[in-house]
Amino acid sequence: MNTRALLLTTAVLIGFLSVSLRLVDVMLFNHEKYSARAKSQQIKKESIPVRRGMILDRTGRDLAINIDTESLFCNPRDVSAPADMARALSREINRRPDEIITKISGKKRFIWLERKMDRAEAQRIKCLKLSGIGFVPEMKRYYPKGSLASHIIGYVNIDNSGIEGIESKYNSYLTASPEEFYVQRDAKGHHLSEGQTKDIQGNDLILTLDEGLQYILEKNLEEAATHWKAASATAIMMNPYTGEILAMASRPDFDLNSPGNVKPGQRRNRAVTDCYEPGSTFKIIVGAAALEEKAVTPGMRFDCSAGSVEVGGRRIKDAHRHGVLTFQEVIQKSSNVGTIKIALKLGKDTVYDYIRKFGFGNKTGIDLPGEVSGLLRPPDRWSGMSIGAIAIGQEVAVTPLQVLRAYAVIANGGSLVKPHLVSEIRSPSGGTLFRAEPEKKRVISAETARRFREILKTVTEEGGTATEAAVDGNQVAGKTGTAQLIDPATRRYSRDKFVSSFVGFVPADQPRIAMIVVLHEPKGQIYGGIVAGPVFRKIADESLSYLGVLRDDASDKGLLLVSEKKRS
Amino acid sequence: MRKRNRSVSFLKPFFVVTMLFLVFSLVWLRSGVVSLEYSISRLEEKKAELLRDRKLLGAQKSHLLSVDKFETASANGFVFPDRMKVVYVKRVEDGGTYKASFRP
Repeated sequence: MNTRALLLTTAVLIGFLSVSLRLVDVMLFNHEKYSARAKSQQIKKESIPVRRGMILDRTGRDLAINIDTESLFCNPRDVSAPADMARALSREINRRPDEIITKISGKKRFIWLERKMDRAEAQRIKCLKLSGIGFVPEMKRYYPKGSLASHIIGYVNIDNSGIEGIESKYNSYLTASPEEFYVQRDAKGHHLSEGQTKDIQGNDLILTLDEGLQYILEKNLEEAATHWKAASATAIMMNPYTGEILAMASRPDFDLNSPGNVKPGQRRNRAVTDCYEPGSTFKIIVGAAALEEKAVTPGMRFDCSAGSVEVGGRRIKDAHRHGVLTFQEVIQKSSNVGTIKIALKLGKDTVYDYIRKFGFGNKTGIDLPGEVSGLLRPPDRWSGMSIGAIAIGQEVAVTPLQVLRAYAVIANGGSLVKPHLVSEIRSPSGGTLFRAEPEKKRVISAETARRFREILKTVTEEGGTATEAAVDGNQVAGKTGTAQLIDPATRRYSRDKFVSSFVGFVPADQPRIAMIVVLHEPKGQIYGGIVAGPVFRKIADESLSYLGVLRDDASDKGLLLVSEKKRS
Repeated sequence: MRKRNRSVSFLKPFFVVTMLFLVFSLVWLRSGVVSLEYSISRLEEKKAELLRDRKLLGAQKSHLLSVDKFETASANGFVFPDRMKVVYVKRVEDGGTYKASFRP
């Protein structure tokens, strides 16, 4: 072998040897270090966006959905010309340039400039090709019906966590745990797909609400609140047999897509969080108890001709002086004197027992946050006049939902139902995770309920206090309520501030809906039959039409038969 | 002996060419896979974009299909049904009479 060949061979061998040694170093001794460095360059950890479950009404109409948005962030260290950037951005995100400069002048490396922008807006900013800014895709909760059912649905915070209403109560079902995955990318940051689209979705909620009924209820409640210049108003519609809430609304309300623009009081669901003295609507407790205990019969007479009665040293009057009234007429004409006489006949322990049986003093258990139990003192803490006051709906504080539930007992034949709003929880794959079953507890006999229903029918008939609540074509059973509010200044009953209400069910014999309408501080009129009764009638009339409920007189009319027209 | 040497000398370049072919095939295959991954990634982005558009349109549709939109669009003459004005007509039997009732 000549010298040149030897040199060449040696050089090649040395070359191979050095490469091999380097490989040994890279692959064996410093493997972890280089592997980690390669991974950080080629593999990126990304979080899988969590799509919050949808909220739908009972017919599947969307009440809360998600839309894709983009959030704008800034890394101040990468911003070359902050003043220019701030000027350019201020035109797009509706903020003053100095505000933006102040925001990015800190030492942080990540600053949100604008969260959840719509995509068109984000696209316009991308076109500006500014340095130091970037976008992160985010889900935004969107409520397509605006303010409809706002107090029930509730809303979420900027991080999509429910903070009010159903969004809050069922937050753990609606959301899912976020997950992360690794994605391969090249030197320029382009992703190399694995051919799989990743998505995490929460469970969908199907409510008992019906969008159509909710709209009817809200439209008429709004009209009434405006007409009577009421400080606030509440209405609830329920299936009396199952406790399904078909509609529920309070006024004032707010737009779910911008809940921050209103005062906190407007966001309160008054149907479950606010208490009031129910007034005459509470008389059904004493009435039903008297029938159930067989202390009275519908024809039993009570002398109310004095127009007042003294209980515990306090004289309680009737709104109008009545003569001798039958038990039925006591309820029909809403006589305070007659009701108190019946309560005295029953005794305070029995009255208290039935108040509890009808669900007062306890939360109804509705699946909404913030429900209160009201105020009901045990008999040992009653004063001498308490039995008289409580019998006519004073000295007790109740929520509209509690009152409605008590009337549902009469409507459904004697059972106390548990009101609820979620009828089903569906997993993303379509499986049913939960289905609500009606919860009932019998509190009075079916016969007592039937007899009392007949009495409540007379309230909306000629001679009753709520003829304005009568629906054309279907009989309404119900009761008016007119209660004085406590004046915070004097701590006595106010002479000009009242709560007017009507609660009832229709069609009376086979109720499809039970409903309560409560208006706080109406101006011009105070009586429940005049203020709340007509609202009940309008809502009930439209709702029965919407539900396709037959008029009571439909069978008398018979079916119409028409001949088939011959086609020419 | 000479015959054997000739066949060995033929096999050597064949082996080298085959090896080179295999190596380049592998490189070509790998580059094909990578380019396919890029294509899938681009298509996925496009799909995600279209899904986002679909969701946005779905949201607009839900908003426009609100019950209040129907009634407030008075120009279209939409009103809630009145039980006294609605009669449901059904054919009793083929070629026979129609039954009209208040029940849907």
